[in-house]
Amino acid sequence: MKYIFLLSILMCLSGCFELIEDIQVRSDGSGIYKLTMNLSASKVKVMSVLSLDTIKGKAVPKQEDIEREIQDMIVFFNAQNGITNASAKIDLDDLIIRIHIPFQSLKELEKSMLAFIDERNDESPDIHSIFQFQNNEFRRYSLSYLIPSDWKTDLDKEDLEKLKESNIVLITRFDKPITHVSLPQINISKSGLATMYKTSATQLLDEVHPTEYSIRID
Amino acid sequence: MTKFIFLTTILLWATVGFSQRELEYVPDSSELVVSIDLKRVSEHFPMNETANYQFIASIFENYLNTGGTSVNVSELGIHLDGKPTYFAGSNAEYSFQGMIVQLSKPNTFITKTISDNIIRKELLENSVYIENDALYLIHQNTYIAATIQATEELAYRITDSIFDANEWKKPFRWEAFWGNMDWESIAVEEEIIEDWEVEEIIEEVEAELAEEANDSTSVKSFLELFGELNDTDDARYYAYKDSIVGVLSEQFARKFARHIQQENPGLLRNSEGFKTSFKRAADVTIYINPKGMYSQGEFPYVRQNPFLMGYDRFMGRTWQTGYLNFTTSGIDMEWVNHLGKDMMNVMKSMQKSKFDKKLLNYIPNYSAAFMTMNVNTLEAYRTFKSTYMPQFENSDDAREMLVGAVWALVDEIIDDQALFDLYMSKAFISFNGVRDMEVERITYDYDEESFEYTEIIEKTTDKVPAITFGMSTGRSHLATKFLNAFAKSQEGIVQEGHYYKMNRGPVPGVPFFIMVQGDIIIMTNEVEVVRNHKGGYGKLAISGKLAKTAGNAKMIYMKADMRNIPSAISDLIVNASDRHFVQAMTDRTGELEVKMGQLNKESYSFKGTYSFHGNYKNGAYYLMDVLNLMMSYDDVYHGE
Repeated sequence: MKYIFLLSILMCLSGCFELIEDIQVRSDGSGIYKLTMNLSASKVKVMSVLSLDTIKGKAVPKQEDIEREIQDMIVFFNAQNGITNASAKIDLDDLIIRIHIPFQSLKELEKSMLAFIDERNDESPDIHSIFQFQNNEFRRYSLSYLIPSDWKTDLDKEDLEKLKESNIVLITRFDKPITHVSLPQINISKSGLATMYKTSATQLLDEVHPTEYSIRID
Repeated sequence: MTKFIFLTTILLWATVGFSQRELEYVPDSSELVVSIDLKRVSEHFPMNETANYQFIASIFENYLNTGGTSVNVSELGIHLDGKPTYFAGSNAEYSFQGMIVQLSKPNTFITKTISDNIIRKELLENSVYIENDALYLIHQNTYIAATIQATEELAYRITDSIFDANEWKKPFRWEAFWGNMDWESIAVEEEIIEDWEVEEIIEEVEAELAEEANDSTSVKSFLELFGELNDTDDARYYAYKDSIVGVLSEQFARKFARHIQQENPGLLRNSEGFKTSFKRAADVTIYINPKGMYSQGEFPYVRQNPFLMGYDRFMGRTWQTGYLNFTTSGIDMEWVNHLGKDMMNVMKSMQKSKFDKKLLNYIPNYSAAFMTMNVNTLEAYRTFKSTYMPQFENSDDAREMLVGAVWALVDEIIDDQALFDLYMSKAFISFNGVRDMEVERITYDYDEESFEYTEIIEKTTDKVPAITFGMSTGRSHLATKFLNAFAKSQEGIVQEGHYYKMNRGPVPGVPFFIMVQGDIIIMTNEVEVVRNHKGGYGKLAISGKLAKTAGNAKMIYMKADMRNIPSAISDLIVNASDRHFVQAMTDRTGELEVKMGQLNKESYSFKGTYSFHGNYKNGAYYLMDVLNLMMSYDDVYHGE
């Protein structure tokens, strides 16, 4: 199954990656979604993977496949209601991909993301809700669009072990002070306007860290 | 396909004897032929010992019709005087691949190896079964299994003619654009369509489409769906094209069977190269006819480029043959390139070269693998020019004459002595193992106030293959001038004493170092080479017989000691099962040496010797052990 990116194949194979999801949500529901995928710590391994045709019978994406996939994704998002000026920067020297999607409402962003996931998968993935912003509360329902749950069954024990080296950072920003977070692992910035949830692919797959949480603002 | 490969593997190990019969059935336009003489092989490896290998037992259990029990391969009905042969090739109409095996008991063979009930029944009753692109045939106690696939190019041409006749809209295709530029294709188009009774094909295709249209899940729904979304004509076009491929493939499979049954296709009869290749006895013989690989229109620019039209002619007189023989210490290989007199004169000129032995000083004695190259490029160019330029100039083809004229002009402008002094092709490349090297990676620093983050560059160590490339050139001062200029302009190159550091090398994040020492230019990602071995490795460099052999070798010389390679590269392998396979290979390593072989009037050869480490009776036992290991880690083999 293809998830958001062919790059997810490289992420799960290399193990050591950093993923930063930075969502800015304004009081009116509009905002900016930013996703940074950093594989620079696994450059040598990723380059060795990219030089192969297949791994375990599955096609390995080429650099141009990754670039095309991301360009297609940006075209897709820009064609959706409530999204304008989505863009992406691909740094193949350091293997970092930065995606920037301004949205008019979180609902429309979620709808677009679900439509994209649905379009890119042969089977219907089991993702129906990602996040919601309602009555001054941000709720996160799923992270499986970033870390697919089938990695747990598809990957060998050793490969799963390597995912411990992954670093996933979820930042959520608001224009009003945060009053409550539902998980003790979520930190609030000194300014009181942003939260940070640091976890890893292993902790999410093993359900050590929950993938559902809520943040309330004033 | 997997079944095909496994069945081929077992058949290749299952017969003994020597015969030319299989070779007589090899189709005329075959480009690759692999034939195994198992009479010779069985002298190294008795057939009844195959049962001791798990992968052979698994093939019997999973792919043959032996009721899930392992049987002796000699009981499969295969002739013990056979020479199993694999062939693959293509022509303007179709591509094909298949295998040929002589049988002693055809009925036993069919019953025990064909697991498909319908195919088995048809072969037992009629000796032939053809469906779509698959052909199974028993002819004169010989089993021939093949897949024959009509070319897309031909299917597109017929589809185009159907659409043109009906004045239907055709989708734009780049391939069609290129095809229209191809003079030869246009010239033969009418002939091909006439040959293949286009009316009959159209009727068959339309009947097939109509039948499928009744199936709501098939073409009709496909057309309706895409008709709404895009353009119905596009969907119809590709449905026709795919259907034509299917219809044509079956027609070609029938034609293929008729050829074998009535005429014998006979590469052995028609190709001097093929005949010559198989005059020599070997455990395994591989024949390659490169013409078919490069001139069937897959790369239209090859046929449109006037210079390469000459190349096409040259390829028509060229073939390659590989001979593999098991020995008590491993496997001997010889790869013969038959190039013809003209090109061999060029090859001989290439050999008039003396290796710069200072280069050997930069190859450490612990190097896992290295290759030297020793070619006189100037002499080679001059011979090439004196041979081929007159051929272009005196050609009857205006385009080739123009190529000759342009070449002569460029030749007048360029000082070939200076040009080939710059690149003398005296060089080496070495793989010195996998080393911990300093690499850069990007990480992030988070501001506690706002959780805003900034990128920071962090130095870390990672396992990186250590590669060094060195070359000798009389004009190394030119390289120094460029490097100084780049270093001055800070274009990613920094001068650090006697060497230069490139921050962006071929491997992202791993710096690359360049050093110029007299006539020698060294490029490496291993900083120790330029820091600590400015003048070479001295006593730590390769020496003695190995250095003498490498230094005196013509063209190329390669030596690889795989003893430490599995443990070194396993860290680089991201997939656990592949990593386990490589780790398991630690006990099954060997050494490979490749050097120039004989230089004859019309051909030359490379000779390779693989010597295994460890205790095996001979190379065949070693190969079976490696195959067994490889299969045990192959997910496809386990049907995952």
